[in-house]
Amino acid sequence: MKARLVALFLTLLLLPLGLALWLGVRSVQDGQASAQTQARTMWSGPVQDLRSRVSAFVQGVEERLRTATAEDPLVKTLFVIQDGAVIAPVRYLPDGSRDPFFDRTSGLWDQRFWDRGATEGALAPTAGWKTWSAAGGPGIVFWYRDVRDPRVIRGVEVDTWAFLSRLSAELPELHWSPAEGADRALVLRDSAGKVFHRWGRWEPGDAPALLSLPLSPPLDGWEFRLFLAPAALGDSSLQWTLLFVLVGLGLAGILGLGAWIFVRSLAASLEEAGQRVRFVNQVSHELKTPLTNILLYGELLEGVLGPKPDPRARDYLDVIRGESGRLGRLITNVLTFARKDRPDSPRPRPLVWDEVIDAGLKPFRPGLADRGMELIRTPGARVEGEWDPDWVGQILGNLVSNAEKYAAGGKWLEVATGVAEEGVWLRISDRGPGVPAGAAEKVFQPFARLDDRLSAGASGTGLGLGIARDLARRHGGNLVLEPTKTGASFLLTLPLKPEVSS
Amino acid sequence: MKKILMTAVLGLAGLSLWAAEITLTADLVNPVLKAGEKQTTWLKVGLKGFEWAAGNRVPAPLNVALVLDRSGSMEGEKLDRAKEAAKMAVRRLSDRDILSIVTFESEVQVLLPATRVTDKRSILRLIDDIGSAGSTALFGGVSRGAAEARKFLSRNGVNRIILLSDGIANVGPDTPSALGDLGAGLRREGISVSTIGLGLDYNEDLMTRLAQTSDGNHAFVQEPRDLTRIFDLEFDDALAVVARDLKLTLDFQGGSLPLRILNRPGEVTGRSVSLDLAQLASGQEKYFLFEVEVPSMAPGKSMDLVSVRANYGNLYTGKAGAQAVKTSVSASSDPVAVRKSLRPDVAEALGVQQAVEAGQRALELKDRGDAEAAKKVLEESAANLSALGRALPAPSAAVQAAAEKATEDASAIADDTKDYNQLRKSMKADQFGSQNQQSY
Repeated sequence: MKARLVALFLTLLLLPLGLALWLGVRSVQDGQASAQTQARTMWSGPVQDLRSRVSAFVQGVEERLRTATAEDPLVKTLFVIQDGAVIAPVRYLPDGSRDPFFDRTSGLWDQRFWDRGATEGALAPTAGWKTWSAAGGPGIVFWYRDVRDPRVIRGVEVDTWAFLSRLSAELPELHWSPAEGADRALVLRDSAGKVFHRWGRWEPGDAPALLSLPLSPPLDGWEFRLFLAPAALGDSSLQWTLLFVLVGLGLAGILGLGAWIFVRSLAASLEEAGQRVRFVNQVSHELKTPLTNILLYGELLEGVLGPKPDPRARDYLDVIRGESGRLGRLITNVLTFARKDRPDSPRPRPLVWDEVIDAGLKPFRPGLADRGMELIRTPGARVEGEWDPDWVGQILGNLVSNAEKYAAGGKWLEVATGVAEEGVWLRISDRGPGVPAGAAEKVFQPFARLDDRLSAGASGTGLGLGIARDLARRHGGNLVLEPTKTGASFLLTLPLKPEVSS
Repeated sequence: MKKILMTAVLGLAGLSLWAAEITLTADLVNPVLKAGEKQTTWLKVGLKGFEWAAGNRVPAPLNVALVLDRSGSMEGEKLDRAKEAAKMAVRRLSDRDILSIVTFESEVQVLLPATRVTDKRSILRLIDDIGSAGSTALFGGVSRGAAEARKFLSRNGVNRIILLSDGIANVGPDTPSALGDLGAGLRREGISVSTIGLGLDYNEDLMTRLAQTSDGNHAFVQEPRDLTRIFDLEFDDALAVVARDLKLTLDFQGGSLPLRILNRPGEVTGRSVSLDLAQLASGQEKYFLFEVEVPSMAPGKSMDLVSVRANYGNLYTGKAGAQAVKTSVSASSDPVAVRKSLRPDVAEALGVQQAVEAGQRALELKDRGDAEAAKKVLEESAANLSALGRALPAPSAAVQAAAEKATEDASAIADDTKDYNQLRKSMKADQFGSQNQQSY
């Protein structure tokens, strides 16, 4: 019920917050997009200027090549085509070998590139560029139709690298400041996608180009590409920061409110639990007096019955005594657990260990016999020491009740005592179902009952073993569950004399 | 004052009939060949720059572009030393010279546009302010340096880019072949690129290729503290250039046929061979070794083998210079006469270049993972050199040094405890220097 409330509460608060976040992101993104559009507009001018500069350079080269001689550093070979056939240079050198020009340009002649674009009725182009990829790198040819004789095509095989070197030197410096250069990159990419020239130091990685402008032949496939770092795009980082701070604050508020409500409800339930404990304590306390009276009057009744009473009366009295004792232990445990009626330290007095144990076992004998459990008492500690008989009684009682409750099916209970170096010990072993591995510690937890199947039919508060161990430890000893193959075996160790701490 | 001194020097030169022209030689390793059989032999064509009055620089102006890597990896001692070396270079230049400074990292900056070296103090201050950052846009840096050099491109002076880099080119074109083609194009314009590789992280294939195709120098500088010395040597070299745009033309006659050039990449086709050389320094000899097939000759017979012409720009006279030389070969059936005809200087050069070739093969083998074969190649090379040393009439320091180097490299190349990267860079640089008779 409570979980559902919390979920409802969170949904009601988180939903509007998520909506606000989404709207915020959208608005910042829109801002970014408009910043991009703005940047694109702002930059297209300068980049177009660069492209114009390249075009002007190419045009200048064209003019130059129309009148170039073979000595021109831009010229590799001059050639002439007449009626579709190369008439100069001559294909074969005087010594009979082929002019290397034809090897270099072997990829050039598949189509009549000087006629391309000419359609029926239209004039054939009068000049143009042709690029091809040759073995030694990209090849460039410029050609033009002879003015006097249109059947003659004059061409220049351009020295590619001389051409590109001049192009490189033609590209101006943009004089960006180091800060400007750090958040932008303008590159000139060749047709293979390789950077030919670059301005700015920003590494765009996979970021898309803000702007790309393609170039015309002979630089077909080349393009200028502009990249701007987000910081250079009108800087939306402040808006992002603001958005995340606001959303963060909202989230923190919701979490704070949730925490406050949780603490409040926890305090309320603690208070309620405290009230219940106090009530149980009072009730238990009130039960003590009538119980004492029942026991007292039971003894008085035994005396009244005389030496030879009806055997049934004896049985009935035993039941009254046994059940009263059980009720007494229950009450004691409850009060001990609630830290009422429990002294903080034991009040030891001189005793003999075996006698204490035997005395403590006595009230259980009829109950054990009734359940058909055979009690094996193996005494081995007729030693004197100082113990609190009430505490030892309570520990022993809790251990035996535990066996009675859970291990009656084993029909067997051994209570052994002995003397160890540090003091005395008590071992209570049964042949019941035992404690599963891993639950050895759990049995000592308050209200622990190992599982419903095991405890089916067994009653109890689930406090006994925890209290027993607590008492043992505060008495200077310990209570442990010993690992066994069958059943359960609890070992209590106590020193001969407890160190009574204040 | 300077003018008077210059006139005096010229006057002295005139008096001693000092010829300010380069010396062209063409010699066979054995001018006398065994008669009666077709055989191959070696021809050495040498070009020697005339000695310019010792200690004074050649009057040709220098147009130099310093292209300095200032990528992040240069930070610290490397950059400090590079700046020191650059400042030393500035101090060596005069107001006749043109200097530009380009720095590169991810971007390329023209620190100093090509300008006459008149205000050294402000140039030094510019150099002081260079800081490091970013990647290595080597292609862009060289291209920008070339553009600066192009502004004052001189046909009567020396145009040179000095590239210093410590890392792998990672922005822009980055293959040895691309940079090699770039270098070849620059050489056609009369610009050479000297490449200085600093530390152990640069690409030596790219750097030597760029220097090779542009006829520049190459140096491997492992320790930054050596940079100033190397820059000094590089400027010694650039300031001593006495001839440029040298064009060698060889016409083989009498049925003889050139097969290949030993110490320069490129193919040889036909009986006529042309070769270009960007520049020649004062007192420096540069040579090419041709393997030549000579037809069978009757004993006692002699014939013209090859006629060699050299055309060049003389930076002293400011005029075009030309030299020509003819070489003949004769045949003998006397083996002693053949042996006696041995030209020690040609044999020595041949030994050195063959050792370079062996070293290159050893590196290829080692690159493919066959260290043992590489070692064997170098050991054989060392043995060949020792044999050559014994065969020569007088001991040759060059051959002995090459033999020792080959022995040393042979043990290092198969030694796993040695750093191959370091060895490869130093071997590449040494091979480059021997192959091109680099002045330092």
